[in-house]
Amino acid sequence: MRSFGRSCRGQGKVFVKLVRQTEQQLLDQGEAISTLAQQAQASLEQTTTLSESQRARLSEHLTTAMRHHEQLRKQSKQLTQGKKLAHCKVVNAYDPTIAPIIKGKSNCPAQFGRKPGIISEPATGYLFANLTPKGNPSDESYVLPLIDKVEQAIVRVQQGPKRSIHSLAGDLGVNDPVLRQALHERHILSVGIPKTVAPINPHPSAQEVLDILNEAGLNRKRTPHQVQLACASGYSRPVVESHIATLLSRGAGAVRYKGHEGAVVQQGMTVMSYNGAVLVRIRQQKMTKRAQKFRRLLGLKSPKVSKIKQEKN
Amino acid sequence: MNWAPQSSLQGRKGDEDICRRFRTDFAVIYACGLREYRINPSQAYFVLPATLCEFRGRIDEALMDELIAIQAAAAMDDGLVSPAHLVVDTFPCEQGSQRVTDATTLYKAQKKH
Repeated sequence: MRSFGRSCRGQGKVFVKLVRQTEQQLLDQGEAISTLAQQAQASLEQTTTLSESQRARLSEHLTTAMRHHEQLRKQSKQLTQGKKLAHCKVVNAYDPTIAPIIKGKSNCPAQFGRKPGIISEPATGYLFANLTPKGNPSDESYVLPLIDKVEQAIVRVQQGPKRSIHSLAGDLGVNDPVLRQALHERHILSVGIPKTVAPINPHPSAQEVLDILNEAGLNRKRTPHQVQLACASGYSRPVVESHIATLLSRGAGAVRYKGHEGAVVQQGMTVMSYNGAVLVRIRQQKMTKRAQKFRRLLGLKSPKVSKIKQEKN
Repeated sequence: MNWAPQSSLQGRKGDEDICRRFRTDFAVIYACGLREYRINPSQAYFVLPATLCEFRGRIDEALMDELIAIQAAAAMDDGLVSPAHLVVDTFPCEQGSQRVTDATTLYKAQKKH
């Protein structure tokens, strides 16, 4: 018998020998599956009663099932030999893209699902892009794909001055020197990503601003004013959590469509409806004082209320 | 509008529900920009549920990213949002409905106490 899990979760006990014996019996029973599948594939090709499309569909299903079986078998063998599992472990035979949710689960049983990433404006919470990866990768792997998506949106802008990303904020999970270097190469300040648990200074002195610019090597690319704004909009847990809570209330909390494609569609639709609500809120000027101040500093125009009223009348 | 699609069998029912709301729910009519459109009362649905289901089935990751990019570009064009300072984070979401197990019940019972 062996105990596992953190003591704060309440340690579970498992009869390791029994598990390994049962696992081996099941593996022995499933030994013949690959031979049977090959026979089924051959029979499927020879059959004349099915149409071409039906045959193709059944063949695809069979191949998918065999691929999943092979993954499960490989994983089970690793378990019986006492080896540590790889990052993307299979937890659902019907959907290998699902992974255990590790984030924020320090005091409850681990659940299985997905971990979408979002990139938002800190003032109003407008989501510029989202990413629903397969499995449960590390947080820093989300950053560059999300930035690429934002840059694709910027390319589509037709009016006004040329837009660019000045700074990026994130929690300690995205604190990676390689990622910081990649951001600096794209002329993006990484001052909003904390290096320790200590909070970021929202009002840096002139010397500190200069140090930040020198450290990033962006002296001629970014201005001191942009650095001050970047520090002011550094990572703040309550701000980001409020965006996430609103998104969850719109149906992003539980994916009800099947598979990874279903999750992408559902999360995308939720993000679009959330953004629609944010834009309505901006037009109606229903924003916090912090958001209003931040928008003023960014030089974002506010819609003229009198003009809207005239149009309405 | 809360977009909370249902799975497989429930999906069709969910589509019928949202299609019905296109005619009856003023919030949905407003959100979809249908205020100016005159709906033919002889038709049972404004948008057929089967069509909506078909449309949803054709959306893939690339198209969804493009739709979100178009929405963001339009908002930037209007000067409503700026991509200058951004924040990144992740959040967990469950797949499907949570299965009721003894462990879950025990955990929730302990939490209530």
